Amino acid sequence: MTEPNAPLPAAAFHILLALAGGERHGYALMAEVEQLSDGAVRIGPGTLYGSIKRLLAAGLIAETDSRPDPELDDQRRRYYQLTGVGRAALSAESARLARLVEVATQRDVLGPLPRLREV
Amino acid sequence: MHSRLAEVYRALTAAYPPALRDEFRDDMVQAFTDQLRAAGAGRRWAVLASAITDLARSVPRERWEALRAAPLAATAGPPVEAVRVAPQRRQHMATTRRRFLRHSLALAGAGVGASMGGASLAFLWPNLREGFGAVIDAGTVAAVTEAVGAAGGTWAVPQARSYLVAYDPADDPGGEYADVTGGTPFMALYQRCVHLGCRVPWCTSSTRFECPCHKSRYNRWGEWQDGPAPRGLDRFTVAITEGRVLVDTRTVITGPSRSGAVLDEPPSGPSCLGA
Repeated sequence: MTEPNAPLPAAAFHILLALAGGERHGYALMAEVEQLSDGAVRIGPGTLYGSIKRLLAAGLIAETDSRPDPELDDQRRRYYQLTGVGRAALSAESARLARLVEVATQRDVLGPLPRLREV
Repeated sequence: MHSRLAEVYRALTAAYPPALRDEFRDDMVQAFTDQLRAAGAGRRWAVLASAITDLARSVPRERWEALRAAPLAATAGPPVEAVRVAPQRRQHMATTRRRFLRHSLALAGAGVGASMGGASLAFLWPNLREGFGAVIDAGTVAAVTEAVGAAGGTWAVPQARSYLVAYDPADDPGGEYADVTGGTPFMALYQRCVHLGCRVPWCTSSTRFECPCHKSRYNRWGEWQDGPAPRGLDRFTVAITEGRVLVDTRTVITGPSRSGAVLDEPPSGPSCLGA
């Protein structure tokens, strides 16, 4: 996150992607990352909050005051949301990955795609 | 139980640099507790182990980040007049080196601690899902029936460290083995000799299990015939679920006493152990 155009670290990318689906607190983020990667990526609490600290410092995410789920609300939990900058970074990184996938397709190295679940 | 594991995890997060710890420790412990809750009773230790793996991976990175991010000014001495540039620089370097060494030491300590802790946990890990010590799937009823028949009434199931032998309740009028066979036509015998623990092979010529170590002999149902063994072979419960034969190796069932033999099958030929 030092250079604006450097690829995002994998954990950061997954966290941003999870937040693109709505505001989340820590554990919900971990669960969402695991689910959207079909179980391939698991982020532990330490990795999560290390990344969150850097994402907050870089202004890609922000803490939110709104409580999206009053049913399961817990005063101790902090919820996070994407900022405008964060959404832009996520979009740039997704575009970068999409270009790579395109190249992979042209070079015929992409096997049949596994069916993705609806995100 | 949750709170105790959470306390363990909270103590371990002390390895993180203060800046991260002060701000997010409670959140980390909260996320860990949430994981425990979601995982359920049987998977608590798995959650702790994966949290420790995560710790071992992320602590070095966070320490390194903290070291890189720490402004040098914060560790340098008080502002000094421009004339005294040289001493200031030396003092400044000394402090950085000390900081560097201290961090390296903490890092090495954390690394050693994490790997030792991880290894001990992995060692203590109960194997509850597969392999010996779990419920072993020996195959479909048809396949097991065929294998047992083809091998002369006994068939080795290595992953269960057992022999499956054909069991006919008609030969067991007293129902001695009704429980252990669970209404199935199979009995599972633990391959370990109850004398001193050698693996006991099946001798096809004598139709006996014959221990090569001290010549204990057992019949096809693992009942003691002669030799130093104090009783018959130990065994495991068998069940048939959804058409598959399951051997439950979680509990070893003590074999029948020397006088408790039920199966009346004389040896069919010469012993494999010689005279």
